[in-house]
Amino acid sequence: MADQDFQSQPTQEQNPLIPRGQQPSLIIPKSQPLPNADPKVKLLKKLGLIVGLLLIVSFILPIFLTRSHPTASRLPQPTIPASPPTPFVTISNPTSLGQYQNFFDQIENDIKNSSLEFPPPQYDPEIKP
Amino acid sequence: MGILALILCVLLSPQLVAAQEPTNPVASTPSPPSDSLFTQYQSDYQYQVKLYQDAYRLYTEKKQINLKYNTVTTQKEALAAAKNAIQSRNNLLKSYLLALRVKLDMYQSANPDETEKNKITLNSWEKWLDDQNPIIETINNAEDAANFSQVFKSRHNELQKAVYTAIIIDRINQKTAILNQLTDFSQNLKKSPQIPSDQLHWFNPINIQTDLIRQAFNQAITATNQIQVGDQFSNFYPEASQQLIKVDGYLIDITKTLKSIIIKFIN
Repeated sequence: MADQDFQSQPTQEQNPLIPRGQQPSLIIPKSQPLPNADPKVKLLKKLGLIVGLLLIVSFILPIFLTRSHPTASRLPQPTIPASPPTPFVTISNPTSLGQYQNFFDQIENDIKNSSLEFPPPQYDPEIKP
Repeated sequence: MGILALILCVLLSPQLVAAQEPTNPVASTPSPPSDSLFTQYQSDYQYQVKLYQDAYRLYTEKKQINLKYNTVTTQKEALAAAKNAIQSRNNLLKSYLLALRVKLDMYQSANPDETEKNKITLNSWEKWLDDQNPIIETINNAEDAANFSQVFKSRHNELQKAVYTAIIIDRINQKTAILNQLTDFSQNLKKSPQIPSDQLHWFNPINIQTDLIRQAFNQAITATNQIQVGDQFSNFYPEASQQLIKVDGYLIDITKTLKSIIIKFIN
């Protein structure tokens, strides 16, 4: 009864030129549901899409990205300095003596050495038993 | 083609390229003399110091024992110990004079004549000490030892004067060598095209400082000529040494002046 009522009240507007009995039926029978209409299938599709996207993001995308940029392992490993670097690196020192630095270092060293003494021995000039 | 290559090689040879470079003030400075021979004689002197100290310690012990007991045995032992100490003293002085003479060699070029005179004096003292060795062997009793001691003591002041004069001359020579290097450097620096001719007054302080150094040298040498009066040695060394300390200050001032010129005009 319910099925009859459903068929007798089509949702589409009927063509008045076509006799009522020959009107094309757009009603889909309940016994033939549309493919993919199952919510489980839809859910599975969605899950598959999400998993696929995750795979692309996690595995495939990095491969494409790293083709244009070297990986960390390809990069030259930075050498860790034994002592921490100086906070300020002077590119040019305006007070530098340049090639004459060694000369002045040597001269200053010589001045110090010229004051080194070679003192005479301490001895008793009057040795007698 | 071959001739052209040859000409290019000759033109680009390192010596010629170096000759075309601007004057380097350091290039003309002499290399410091080697002190390996002095080090060797200094080591021998240090060894003789130890021998003398041991011999002198034994001599003082035996002398004390002899003063306390005054037996034939203690007298003989004290005499033997005194002879050994005198011999050790001779060796000590001779090794020191030899080392000092070698030390004078190192910077003799700074003042050849005065240095040579001092070296001859030191050498004559070495010979005198050598001459004492057979005399020491002939010391047989306390009286001989006392006579020897008297003769040695009478020459002690002369020996001290020779030694301290040589030390002062050696120190003057070292400082003169440094002054010569700085003067050469300064003269070459003056020729640098980077220093405009109207800026040469920057070098004026060096002339003043050089004059002050010469004055201090003269005063140090004058101090060594101090006449020795009496038995006690009148030590001129502290006074002369004071002048040489002043010289160090003037030498440092010259280096500062040269550095200022380099920083202003060269670098």
